[in-house]
This record gives sequence, structure tokens and C-alpha cells, in this order.
Amino acid sequence: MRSLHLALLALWSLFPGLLPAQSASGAADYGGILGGGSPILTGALGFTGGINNPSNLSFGPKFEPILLLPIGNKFLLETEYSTELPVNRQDGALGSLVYNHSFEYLQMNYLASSHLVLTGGEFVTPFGIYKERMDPQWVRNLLDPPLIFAINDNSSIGGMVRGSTYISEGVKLNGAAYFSVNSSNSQFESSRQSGGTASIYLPGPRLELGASYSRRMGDDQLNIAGADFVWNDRRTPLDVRGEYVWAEKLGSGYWLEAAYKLANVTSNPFLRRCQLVARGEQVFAPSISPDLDDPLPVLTTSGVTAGWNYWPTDYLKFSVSYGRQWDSAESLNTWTIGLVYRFTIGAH
Amino acid sequence: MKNRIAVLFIALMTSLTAAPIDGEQVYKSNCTRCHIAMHTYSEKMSRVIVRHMRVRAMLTQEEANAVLAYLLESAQPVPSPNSKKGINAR
Repeated sequence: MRSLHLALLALWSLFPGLLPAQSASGAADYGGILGGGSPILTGALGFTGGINNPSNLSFGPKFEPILLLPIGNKFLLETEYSTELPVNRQDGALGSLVYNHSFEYLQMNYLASSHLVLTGGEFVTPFGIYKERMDPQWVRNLLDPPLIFAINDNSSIGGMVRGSTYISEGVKLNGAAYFSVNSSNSQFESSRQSGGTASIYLPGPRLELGASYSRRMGDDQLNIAGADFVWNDRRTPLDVRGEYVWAEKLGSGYWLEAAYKLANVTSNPFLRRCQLVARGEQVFAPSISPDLDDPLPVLTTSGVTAGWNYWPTDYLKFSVSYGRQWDSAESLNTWTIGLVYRFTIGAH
Repeated sequence: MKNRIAVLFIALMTSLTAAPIDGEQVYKSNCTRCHIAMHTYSEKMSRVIVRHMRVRAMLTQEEANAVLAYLLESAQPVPSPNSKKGINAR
């Protein structure tokens, strides 16, 4: 009987939603997010152009629509379809036109409890901070992703459990664990892998420290581990993020990015809608080329990038950046420019 | 002894989850980490967007409810000649 009590208590602690809920000031007036809602079509349409070492030019549109479909009070179906039409011009010759299109995610979420969400379908692989948070073109601070992003730029097909809880006042624990099956379908690509991510978030100083792990199985068996942090200084406001990733056979690397919004330091209406960004990064190539299908630098590479973002309206973002990369063989200067329009369509 | 520890643990969890939540504080310490501007949407749209962000940003149910309440209260028309329809000041 004592064992049964302990088991029930343990189960109870796993699902804190069964416990008396936190009170959200004013939330009761609206019934919370469990009630109501209608389908939403949102997403972004962007155009990006880049030039490096004058002879190489690339440009093209990118369209990423997202559909959010609430079902009942406990479910949310969400999907993002990514399409792009990049054009490359190298040494005066146009490359072949390739239309890239696939599902970024197509997932059903079940809000199991106050602190727990169960997900099935295709979902963005939870690893580090870039893929899940920074990847959307209207969210990322710089148009080009970090070099090591190639290691984790993927989605998974399978199941995921994710959630969060306060382990003490002012200390929040976030976590996600998943498994994925192999799929070679061009619209739903995934590898056989499993892993998870966990982080401690301190809302007071707005500091988050996280760690991730992933194990790929199948033909290319390898372990991937990472650590990340995010810090938002509420006074300036300065955003600092960084991530370190180590991948067996593929190499390792890190990036550190700082973004500074000018909204709090000037009354000029133009400058208030500007943001300055800087990033430094390094990728350490493995001593022996792994011959895996991952677009990572084959030589140890360093890079710095500086960028400027401007929002003419809350739905339009203009970006320009300059980056320099170098390794033991060559250096590369890249100018990138982009315009992103964010749209949201739904019932009023 | 085990039972005492378990009861103590439950009491601790209860006390921790009973703390009040400030929607504006949750919004500022979570949403603004990735999103630069606050948009104004209808109530129906806000409910779905917050449900979506509850999954993405790993918000608890109570935090999501608090953010929704804050967004809907912020979306109320402000009697100001400088207010701009559909867009809130940052």
C-alpha cells in the first residue's frame, strides 16, 4: 500500500497540472487559451541577395507559409511549408534553377497538462537554440545562419514530449525529448535519431543556459552534443546568444552573436526601428574528412559578420550584412541584403 | 521517512505552482527574446497564436494564459490621437 501511495505521488509530481494551478492575473476573463480560436494562415515572404568575391552572386525568393489549426481544447495542428527558388551566378554563368520545397514541420500537439505537451508527426528537431527559435527569416538577426547550423538543420519524424516547470521561484526548467524514424521522402526527410534538450531559465536576469544531445543511428552513426546560452539585458536592451556544438566525425564549432536594439537609446523614429548585430564564429574541421553528406567547411574556418536591421512597419523587415570568412587556403567576403514581409490571416 | 519526503515534495510543488503570474512580465521575459514588436490581433487569432507559442516557447499553461490576458488587454483601443490602427508601439 505504501508503494502504491509513493507511485501515485511520483505520478502526480510528473504531471503538476493536476496540482492547483498558478493564477494568471486577468486570464480568467478570457477563458485562457483552452477555449475558442480559429485557423490562422501566417508566415513570411522574403527576398535575399548575396554577393561574395565579386564573381559569385546568389539571389531568390523564399516563401514560408504556416497554418495553425486548433482542434478542440487540447489539440493544435500546425504546419510550415518551406519553398525557395535560389538563383546562382558564378563566373558570369547562371547555374541551373532549382525549386526547393518541403515541409519544415507537420505536427499534432496535444496539451497533455499544464506543463506537458505531446507531439507527433514531423517536427523541428529540438537541439540548441537556432533551429527552433532563430531560424524563421523574420526572427533571425542575420540573414545567413551560423556555419555549424548545418549540423542540426533538420526535422524529425516521430514523437516528442516537451514541457517546462518552475523548480523554484525564479528558476524555470525547460526540456524536450524525441525519437525519429528514417524517411527519404523528398517532402518529409528525416534521419533515424533520438535525443533531447534541456535548459535552465532565470526570468529575472533573463539568462538561459541549455544543453542538447542527439544520437543519429542508421548508416551515419554519430553522437552530437551542444551547449547554448541566451542573455537579454533588459536595460539596454542587448541580446547575446551563443552556441557550441560538437559532432562526432563532423567536427565542432561555436558562434556568439550580439544584437542591440536602438529603441531605448533614442527618440528618433527612424533609429528606434533599427537594430545592430554582430557575430563571431569558428568551425573546427575533423582531421580526417568524414565523407558524410553535410555541408560543413572541410577546413577549419573562422568568420565575423556585422549586420543592420530596419523595420519600416511591424510587418516588414529590411536587412543588410557584411561577413568575412577565412581558412588556411582562402578568405571570403560576403555582402547580403534582404527584405522580409510577414503576414497573418485569420478570422476577426 | 519516504512518505514524509514525498508529502514535503508535493507541498513544495503546490506552493511553487500557486504563485501569481504577471502576463506583462511573462511577455517581456519570453516573447521579446525573439520577437521585436508587439502585434495586435483579434481575440480568436490571439488564442491560437498563444497556443502555438506555448508549444514553441515552452510556456506553461498558466504563463500562456497570462500572456493571452495581457495581449488582449493591451489590444483594447487607447483613446490617443497618435494611436495607429493595428500596430502597437513597441
